Amino acid sequence: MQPEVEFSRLYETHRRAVHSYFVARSGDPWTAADLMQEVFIRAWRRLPEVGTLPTDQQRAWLFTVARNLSIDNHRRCASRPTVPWLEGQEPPGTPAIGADTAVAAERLEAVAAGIRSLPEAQRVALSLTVAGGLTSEQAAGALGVPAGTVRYRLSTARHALAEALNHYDDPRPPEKESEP
Amino acid sequence: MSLDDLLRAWAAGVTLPDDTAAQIRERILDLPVPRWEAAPPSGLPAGWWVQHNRQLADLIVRSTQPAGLHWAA
Repeated sequence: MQPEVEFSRLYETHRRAVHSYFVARSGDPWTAADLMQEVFIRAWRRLPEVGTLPTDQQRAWLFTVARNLSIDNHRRCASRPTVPWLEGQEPPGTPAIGADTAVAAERLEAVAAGIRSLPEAQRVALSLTVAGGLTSEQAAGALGVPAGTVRYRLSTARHALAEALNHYDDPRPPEKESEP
Repeated sequence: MSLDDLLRAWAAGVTLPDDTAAQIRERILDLPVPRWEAAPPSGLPAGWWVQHNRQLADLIVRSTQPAGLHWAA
């Protein structure tokens, strides 16, 4: 098989998952794109080796590289005070829905804010499955953790987001029971 | 709009557009075509590292022993 064809197949199979991983780790889709590019440059250079692996092993290889790059990137950015996208500015991609009504957009922002405030492990699990299109088993293989761990993280994340959404929909503080 | 709908909308907002992804792929494919890299020739004879590590370990162990033990061992 031609290297270009083999690489394109590898790239199209894994690019969404790798990008979604970096979105969760960096908080910025464009930083994530740069890091994703670096992962696939390394895959291209090692294509004779990586291209012959089964899909799940390719994913594991790519995510090992991605983890290392993410750590390096975190160190580089440690002195940076904040990532712009994390400050509540509009992410580069305009949401497909929600822009038409202010309420829908606000509810979407409430969920986005909830995702940003999740612990990183939960945010990564959520991003890989929701934006990356992986199953919990595939995400577990990519992250090197048991599938049950990913399912637990997803469940906890969804619970937290549902609560955040409820709080947005009904921001009244819980009523205190009257003292006897 | 349910939580699942909102999550899908969030995902759509952070997903890399297809045309951008295609541009990245093309940039990578412009790099030189990868080849199997030949193993670099080693200038050291086989077993050199084993011998070296053995001698080093021996030196470390000896350096922790009292002076008289070196000759008693």
